Amino acid sequence: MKIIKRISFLSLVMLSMYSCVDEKDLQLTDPNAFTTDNFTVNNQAELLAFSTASYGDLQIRGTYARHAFFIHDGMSDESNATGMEPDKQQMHDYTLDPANIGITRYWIACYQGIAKANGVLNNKQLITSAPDDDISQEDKDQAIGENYFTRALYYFMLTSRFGDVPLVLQPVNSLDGTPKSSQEDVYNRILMDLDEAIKLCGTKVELGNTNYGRATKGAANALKGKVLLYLKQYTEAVAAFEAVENDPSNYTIQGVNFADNFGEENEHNSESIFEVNFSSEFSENGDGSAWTTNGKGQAETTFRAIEYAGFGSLPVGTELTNAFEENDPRKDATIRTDGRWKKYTYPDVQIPNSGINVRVIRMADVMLMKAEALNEIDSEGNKTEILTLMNEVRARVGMPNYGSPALDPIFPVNSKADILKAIQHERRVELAGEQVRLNDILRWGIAKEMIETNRPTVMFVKDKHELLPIPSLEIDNNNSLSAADQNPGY
Amino acid sequence: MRKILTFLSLLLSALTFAQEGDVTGTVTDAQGEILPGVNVLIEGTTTGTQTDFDGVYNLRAAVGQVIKFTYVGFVPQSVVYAGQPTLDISLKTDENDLDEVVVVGYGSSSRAKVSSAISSVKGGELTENPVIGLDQALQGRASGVTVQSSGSPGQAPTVRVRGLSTFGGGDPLYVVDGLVIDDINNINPSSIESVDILKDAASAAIYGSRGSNGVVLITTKKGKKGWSKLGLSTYTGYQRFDNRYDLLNAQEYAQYAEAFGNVPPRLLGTIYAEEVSKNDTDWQDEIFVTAPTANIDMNYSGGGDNINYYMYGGYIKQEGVIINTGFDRYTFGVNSDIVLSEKFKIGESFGLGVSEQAQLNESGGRTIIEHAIKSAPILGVFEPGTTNFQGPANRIDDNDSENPVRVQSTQERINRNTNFYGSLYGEYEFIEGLKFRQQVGVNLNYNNNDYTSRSYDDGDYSNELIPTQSAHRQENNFLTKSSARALTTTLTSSVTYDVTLGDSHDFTATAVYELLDVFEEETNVRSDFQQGVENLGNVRTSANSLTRKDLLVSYIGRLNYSYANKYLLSGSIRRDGSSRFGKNYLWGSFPAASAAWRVSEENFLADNDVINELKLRASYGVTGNNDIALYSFQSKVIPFGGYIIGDGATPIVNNVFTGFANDDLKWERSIKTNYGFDLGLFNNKVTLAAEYFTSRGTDLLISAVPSPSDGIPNTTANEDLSGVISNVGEVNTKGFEFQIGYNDNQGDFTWSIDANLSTSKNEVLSTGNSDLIPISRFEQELLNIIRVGDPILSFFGWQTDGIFQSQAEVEAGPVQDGQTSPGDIRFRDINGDGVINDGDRTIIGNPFPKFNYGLNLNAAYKGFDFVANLYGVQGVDAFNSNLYDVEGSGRIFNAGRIVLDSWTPENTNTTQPRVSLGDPNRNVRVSDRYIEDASFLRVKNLTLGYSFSQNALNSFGQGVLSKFRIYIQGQNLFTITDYSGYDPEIPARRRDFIRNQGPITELGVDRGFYPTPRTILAGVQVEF
Repeated sequence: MKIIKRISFLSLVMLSMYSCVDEKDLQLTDPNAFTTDNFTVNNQAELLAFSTASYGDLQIRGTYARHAFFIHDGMSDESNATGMEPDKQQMHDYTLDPANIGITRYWIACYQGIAKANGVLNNKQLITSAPDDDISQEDKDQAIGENYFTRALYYFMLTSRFGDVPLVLQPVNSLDGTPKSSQEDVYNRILMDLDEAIKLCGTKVELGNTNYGRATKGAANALKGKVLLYLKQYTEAVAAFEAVENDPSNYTIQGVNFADNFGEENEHNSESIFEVNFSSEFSENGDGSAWTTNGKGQAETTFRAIEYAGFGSLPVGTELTNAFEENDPRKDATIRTDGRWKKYTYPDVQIPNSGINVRVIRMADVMLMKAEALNEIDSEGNKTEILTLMNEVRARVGMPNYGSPALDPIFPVNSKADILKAIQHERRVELAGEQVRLNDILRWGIAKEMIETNRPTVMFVKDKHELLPIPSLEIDNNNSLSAADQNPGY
Repeated sequence: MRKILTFLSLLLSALTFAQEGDVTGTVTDAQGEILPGVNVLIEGTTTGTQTDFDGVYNLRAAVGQVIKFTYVGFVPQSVVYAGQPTLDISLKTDENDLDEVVVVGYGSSSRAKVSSAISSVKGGELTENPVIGLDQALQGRASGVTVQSSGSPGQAPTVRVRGLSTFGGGDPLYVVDGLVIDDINNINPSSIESVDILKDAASAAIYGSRGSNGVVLITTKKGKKGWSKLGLSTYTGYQRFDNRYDLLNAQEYAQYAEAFGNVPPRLLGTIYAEEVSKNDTDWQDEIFVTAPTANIDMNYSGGGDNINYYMYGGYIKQEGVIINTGFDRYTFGVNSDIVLSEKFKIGESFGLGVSEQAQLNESGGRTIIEHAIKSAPILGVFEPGTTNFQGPANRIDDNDSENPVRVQSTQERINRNTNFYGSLYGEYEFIEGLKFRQQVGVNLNYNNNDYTSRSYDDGDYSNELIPTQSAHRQENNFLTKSSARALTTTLTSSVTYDVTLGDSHDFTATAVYELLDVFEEETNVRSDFQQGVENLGNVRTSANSLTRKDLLVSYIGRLNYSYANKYLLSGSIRRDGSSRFGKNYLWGSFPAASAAWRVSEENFLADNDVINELKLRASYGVTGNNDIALYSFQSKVIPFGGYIIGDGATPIVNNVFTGFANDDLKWERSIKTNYGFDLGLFNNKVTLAAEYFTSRGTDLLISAVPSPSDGIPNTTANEDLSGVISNVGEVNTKGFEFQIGYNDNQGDFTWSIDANLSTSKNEVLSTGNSDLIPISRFEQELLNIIRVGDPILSFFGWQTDGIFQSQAEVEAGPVQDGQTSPGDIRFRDINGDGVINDGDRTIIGNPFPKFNYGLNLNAAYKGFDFVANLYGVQGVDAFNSNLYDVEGSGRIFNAGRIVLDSWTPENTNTTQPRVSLGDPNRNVRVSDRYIEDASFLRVKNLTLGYSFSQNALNSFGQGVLSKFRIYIQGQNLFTITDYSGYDPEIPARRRDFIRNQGPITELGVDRGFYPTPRTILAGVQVEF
């Protein structure tokens, strides 16, 4: 009986454990993560961890680690390839459809970045209310400003290729989806965001080399100028480019070797305005193979080197090769002897986890864009300045000046149209393989002609192929979109 | 005086029956287990006896008399006495015994009193022949229960009760001896006495928020009254897998590559001819091997008046038929019950399983099988004369395909699991019929997943024409270790009152209070190391850890009433409070009711010779499902990725806002009805049961894939979008189940047939706001979808309509893409707009079968026993994605020999489209081209055994042995199917594919899974 008593006692002890449970005990909070209610920013390190998240999607497969190259370089008149992976070949051949993997990944990546920027921009109070002793006002402004910049950049990457797109500016709180906004509205928002970024971001020289890779006032001005140029608002564009020129960071191409813009050695040189950072030093992601890079690792790497020069998936087209003038040293810096790309690759052996940064905007681009805008405003009146800008770019590589007897026979500069042709040529050879050409030939209205000349088998359908199809994943999943929202012709 | 009388009576009978003799013998069950206490009676007399502890009886009978053996739970057997001195009898288990005890939630009941739908599988069927997992033992045995076993050694099965009626995982709840267990994979099937499966709401609603997918109640073996026994059984055997895709050899591959019209320089001319002659690798043969398996089980059991005990231990080792895979497991357990006093009894049930599984790897998001199909036969496994792995070095040799031997050799994925469960109970009877029972249970599970990935460099093709550049290489070695520990404590207090009022009013009332508390912790470590140091992480180490808590509080009430054992009524309700849901829906209630009428108890059937049992049943109830990740309702700020700024000395780990809070996240509810009958004919020689059920699932929980533009951070392991857990949609599931049994004997020959057939048809009624819910994709195109009006997870894609034979046909057909040519596939213009695009996709297949069936045969003659188990699935579609590779795509990979029959202007009579670089017509899009009928009938098990008779044992074993059985067994010997892939039994893919848990992420899609091999075994079972 003694045993029974003891067991009865034990049972009572067990019963008493029940009494501890009430309604409150059922309301558990995940101990492994902050919730949006209890998250705070308390010091410099936490500020960086919070504010720099939106850059991450520039370095993933969907964007500059891989697919962005095929979307731009592969679909422009710069390349000519066969036998690529189907999605890339279909983009290149203009037989792509809305299920295309590459464009879907690109779309996803841009919106992932946008959501991270929205997470910061809609919780600005976390930054503004952070303790001042550790975080200066400039740090706070930079943290907010750079997210305006990244959001603008992602929307530019989207709307310039897809036209009307959903304009998501808040973190979503339901699965209802967001309808499309007109391209005009998207561009207006991009410009508003860039103005905020210009106001809040520090300059490259203020931020210093420990902050290389973050958005700057100069980067925001350069992107703003580019957007305005695309919108044909030339006067405003020139103003933005002038702001870049007058930036205390002294952006210049002088003293910069052309080839230095594409290697690992001279990243963030004085010509560089905005770069996407890559590092092979921390290349491993979840499973360590660069082949399955999913963009969630730290300091990702880009596939560009092995894809372009190692496998030679996307060889340079003959039209581009022939576009270079004789003796133009940029040809050798752009194209390898075997016809593969040289920019953003290693001299000899290529690795799948390249750490070479991608230069998204550099000063030469800005100078040529300014020249183009000036030409549109008043070709006659601005001629001197236009030629100065263009010739500075040529002088760096030792090529004869526009307007000089040596160049006049092939690229005369006697009229607005002449000058535009010259600018088109200069941009083509200077910026080849830098994801600039496709947007250029589209806005110049020469895409069909150029692409079909370069790849005679391609049929570029007007009023269709200027835009990419909205990915079917978006149309399928977004409850605010229907099949009617697909871009024309797809 | 008495002696004289006896003598006289004997004399008398001797006079009456001239040939009378003593007969003795041993009574055993079909497995040779001795049966003490069997009634042995001469029919038409009162002469009889019982078997003793050794199952032995002695009787005197006259020739021509009928001796009848009866024992509770067994089919009675009658034998005409022919004067033999020994008569050993083997009794057959009565499958439809009405006195049979059926385990129900929080209690047990006699079969006769059950008014809901419960299937039972008895220990004998489970353990008479070896199975590694419970899945194999259940497959095809019980109607309404489907089991998909995996060929991967040690992989958890997918068990479904009545098909699928949820958008989630659909796993039933497993309860072992009253304790909910997460992982049944480490439970030794030979320790199981019975499995009862609660199928309808009336039986399962007692498990409330976890009952929707059915409940599998496992009862482990207990010691029986009698001398203690030592049992030993062992087997050994071999497994093989012989199916192959018919692929190109090196010469044919070269021929095929040329058809692409873009032969890379290195494939040209004499150098190429030389290269081709170097290797002719059959990559399929390189990954499959013949693999041994062996098992040993021991148990020791016994019991007396106040105590019984059963203890067991087992070890199994199974190598896999794919290189570097395998499984081994130790199991131990002890069960006992102790009667302390007339009113007080206590007991325990403990089990421990320790297993190690070497799993199949994947690489680049592709399975080993896919790599084996696609790898070029002109490549060798190793570079010539070295032990360096070889792989494609040029994109023309398909960078996607990796050397499958290297993938499976340099990567090692070991899953180690330790599962301990134990429960203690005390039961006190206050007054007659009023019992209080307190159970405390613990389930402790350790799961370690070690993944080692060693550096490799799939060397170049040693051809001077291409640069020294291997497509596949990894510079670092690294190791990731994930250690998870889950501790579940369950406290269950129950009060039961059994009372009979008047003559015939039986009541059983049950009240339960239960508290379930789960604590999980997890540590993930990754270390990069140089060769030889492994665990030190001498290059770099990173780690993270997680803890989680889960709480479930439940109040349960149940009342059973029966009138004269004729009319049965039962009602129950469970109220659950859970920490898994939003604060607006912490509590949920799950009621159920059932009724049954035992028609055979009515007077008009009482003396019927044909019908001895007829019961009509009906039930209705509501069950729930809470199978979602913990804390799903919360919005969080999570550590995510990281961007490197400045000189990049220290990468930043970013904090990212993810998802959104959902205070309204709540239980998924299923409203279920069941109608059925049980019929026993000719003294239960023929038994029949049939059911019709419906289940309507509402507020279904699904990880809904958001729009990409929502930008919800992708936390999946790949580039797919992360889902958001929400209550979305409704589904209706209904079906029929039939079970027919027949058993008979002809003298010493006893035999039985049991057949079952089940259907389960589901239809999606609502998908919330969305037109369709995408679940899986193939090459970025939708594959499994959920759409209103269709079955869950239907295949979605384009329909093919033959091959364009001429340019005129291309022009006459719908516009497909810019570059359609003769020889391309014509797709069907479903919406009739003249253009083939996304709008022409339609349902192209149903991954659910029309019906499943099982056929089980048992026969015994003298010492011989024979068992055959057949299992079949009929009318099921599969998407065989391997055909994408076998039939060739727009790039050069190795392919099936069928590509040699590709369409050309000269070869037009073919179903194989033209070979076209880049596939501009997208012939490889998701279409019915890859849908196949995956119906099959499989001979799961054929066993022939022989048990030595008691006499033989007595003579050569000096009475030490009480049982000695030898057997041979063949598993999966034959499969009848039209499916062209390795194995038509395609497992569902789950979110946690390592442990086969979580929501279904893909159904009926064959991406090259681990096929089920053929196995031949021989074994011995001994008892002392």
